[in-house]
Amino acid sequence: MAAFFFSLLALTALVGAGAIVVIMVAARRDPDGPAAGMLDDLASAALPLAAVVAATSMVGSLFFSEVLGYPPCTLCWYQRIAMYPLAPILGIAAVRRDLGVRLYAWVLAGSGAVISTYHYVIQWVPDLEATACAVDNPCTAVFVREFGFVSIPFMALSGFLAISALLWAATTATAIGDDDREPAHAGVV
Amino acid sequence: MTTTSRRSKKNRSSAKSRSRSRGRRSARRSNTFVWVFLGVLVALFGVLAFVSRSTGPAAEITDASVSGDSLAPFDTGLDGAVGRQAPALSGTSISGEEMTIEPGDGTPKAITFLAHWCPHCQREVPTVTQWVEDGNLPEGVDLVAVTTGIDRNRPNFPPQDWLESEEFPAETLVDGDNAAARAYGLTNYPYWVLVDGDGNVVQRWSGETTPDQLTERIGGLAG
Repeated sequence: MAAFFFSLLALTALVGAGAIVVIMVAARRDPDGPAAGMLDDLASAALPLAAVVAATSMVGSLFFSEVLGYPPCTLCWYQRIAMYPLAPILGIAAVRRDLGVRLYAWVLAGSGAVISTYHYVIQWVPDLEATACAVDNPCTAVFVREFGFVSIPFMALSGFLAISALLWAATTATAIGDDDREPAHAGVV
Repeated sequence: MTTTSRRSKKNRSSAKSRSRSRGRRSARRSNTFVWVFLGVLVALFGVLAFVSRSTGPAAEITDASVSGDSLAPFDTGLDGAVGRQAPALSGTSISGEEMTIEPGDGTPKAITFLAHWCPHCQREVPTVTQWVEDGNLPEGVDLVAVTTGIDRNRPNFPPQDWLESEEFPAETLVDGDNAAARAYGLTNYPYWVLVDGDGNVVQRWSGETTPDQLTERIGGLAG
């Protein structure tokens, strides 16, 4: 049941990330259209949402290892190194409304997304890593595969992509109290 | 400064002040949303943790006994275990019956060690099953297996259900504490050890094996 719940969260995050990209592109093409309006509404909540995604991902990974007992492999730890700092960093940035966090967060989220992608691929094609399993905890072992394709690395990848998309959307946020600055529409960093 | 410009400046200042107020209210709403959402998530996780801690399927996981000298850990390259006497193993099979693997009883044996959670073993089992069904196992050679590396927190547990669902043709010993695996020098899964009729190690290897490799290696065991 836990795996089903987290898989749904992951799919929601992934769909959300895709929707944000579509809105950003549409707003770029038509700065006066409805997409631009939606983007302005999203931008003010994007940083807190990114913090929530990071916190949820962190708690979810701890749940799998500490409650369900699934041992994290080496690649799991690398993804944790990328995701865990994002939770407090984005949380503090959301409280302080500090958009300057974007670059640091993107570096972490981007690195994590690359590792998650590789981990997801070798779970499907274990021969890419080796033709045998190490005795301790190979990263090719699949603990969860909901709906036939949602594994734990997939959930992590969804989280990293959602965070990246939300940070991109946050670039259009107007700084609070600074009405002299026009919103930087559609992805201008 | 003219009256008009003073009024314009006052209007701009008021507008800016109203905007800052709206912005601060919006910020407070966003922060409130964040805390409420986190609180709901924490509560949900608590419920999930309580529900998910139910025990998994009950399965009889017994330990195997080893008698005889252990083989050196397997490594690629020159295998020092070749020619040495393989240890005997005894315990319980996956069907719950007493089982013994006795090298040196006069019958050559192909012994495979499998871990239920290893994706390579999960692919190896149907390959071996099909290879045997195609009539490739030489007469006079025993194919036996050891299920080891057993961990209820890893996927595809219990191994008994997995191997029975695959209709794996080899009699399989349960190695709950990995004693058999250590005694035979296992370093990776899946793992094969071929012994001749006198119980001496002929060949060892680890990793997935193709049907042609099975035919070549185990076929050679029959002499």
